[in-house]
Amino acid sequence: MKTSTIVRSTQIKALYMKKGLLLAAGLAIGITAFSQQRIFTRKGQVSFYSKAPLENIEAHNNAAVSVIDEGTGQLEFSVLMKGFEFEKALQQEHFNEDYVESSKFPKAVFKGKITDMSKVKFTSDGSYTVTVSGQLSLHGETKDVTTAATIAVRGGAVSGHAEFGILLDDYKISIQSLVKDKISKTVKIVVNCNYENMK
Amino acid sequence: MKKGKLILLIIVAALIGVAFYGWKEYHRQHPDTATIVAAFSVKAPDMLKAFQDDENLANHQYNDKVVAVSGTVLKVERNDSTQTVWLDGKSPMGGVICQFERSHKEELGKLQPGQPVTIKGVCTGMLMDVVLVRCALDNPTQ
Repeated sequence: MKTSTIVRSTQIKALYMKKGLLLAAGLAIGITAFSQQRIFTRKGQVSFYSKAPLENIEAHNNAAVSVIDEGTGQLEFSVLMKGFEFEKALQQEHFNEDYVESSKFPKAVFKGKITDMSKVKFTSDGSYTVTVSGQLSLHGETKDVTTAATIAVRGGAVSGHAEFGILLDDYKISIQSLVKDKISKTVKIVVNCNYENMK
Repeated sequence: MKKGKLILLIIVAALIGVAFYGWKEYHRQHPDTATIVAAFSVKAPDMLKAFQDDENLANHQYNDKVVAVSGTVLKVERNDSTQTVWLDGKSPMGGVICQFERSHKEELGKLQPGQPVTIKGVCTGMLMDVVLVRCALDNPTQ
């Protein structure tokens, strides 16, 4: 009985650990004395675009979760792979089943940092170009990503925008040889988030 | 000669058939969730709890399936590209996010915060909230 309670609490701990920064950030609500101001969204937009002779592919996800620590510039994005919506059902099926294997790898996560956070003044309106550097985990592979991003402050509301390219090979996403030369090997990823204060 | 013509005709007809099937398949649209019988009916807090307790199990059970989720409307949000209903998950960590299919966005006009509702959608998993896409109201006339 006691053992099972311990196992249970270990499981709970493991679950909380897994949620990492997001959950920690959630739990830290109210302990503002120890944490810098964090901003977050649960409805971030992540889209990707692939242009090639055979077909142009685009898909959109409107439920990305993102947290930025305004003090340190640490940030994190999570997105459900099955949440990417394509116009054509067949493309969406191929994406989930053949390319990103979303049942095996349900999430993509980016963890990183705004390396020049001192440029951004959250108290005054403006548009700031910053550099974001971190690791993108997708399809079971983790790779370094560095990109320019824009942080815009308008009347206290913060939004973020970034565009960067990834190589499918880097994430071991393989395309059937039949269509290999006709589908783009790079994918453009566009991120747009409107943040709220975490209270 | 006649036989040869017939074979040629059959081959051409088969090619046209294959091409037509391929074309139809390539342009196939997602089925309207409203027309699909839900694989599960569940209350929003129970569904969220299932994911919080054992995410792998819940992913296996719910993902890619049409689920009818009942709950209380927390808020309704609409902009140019998205229309979303947030259902109360009775948890400080999250709830159930229902992203409506464009063809069903008119249904959101009827919804008010605090209202009980049942929404059908395709489950995609959980981040902080459980996320359903391609949603439609279940029994929109009620």
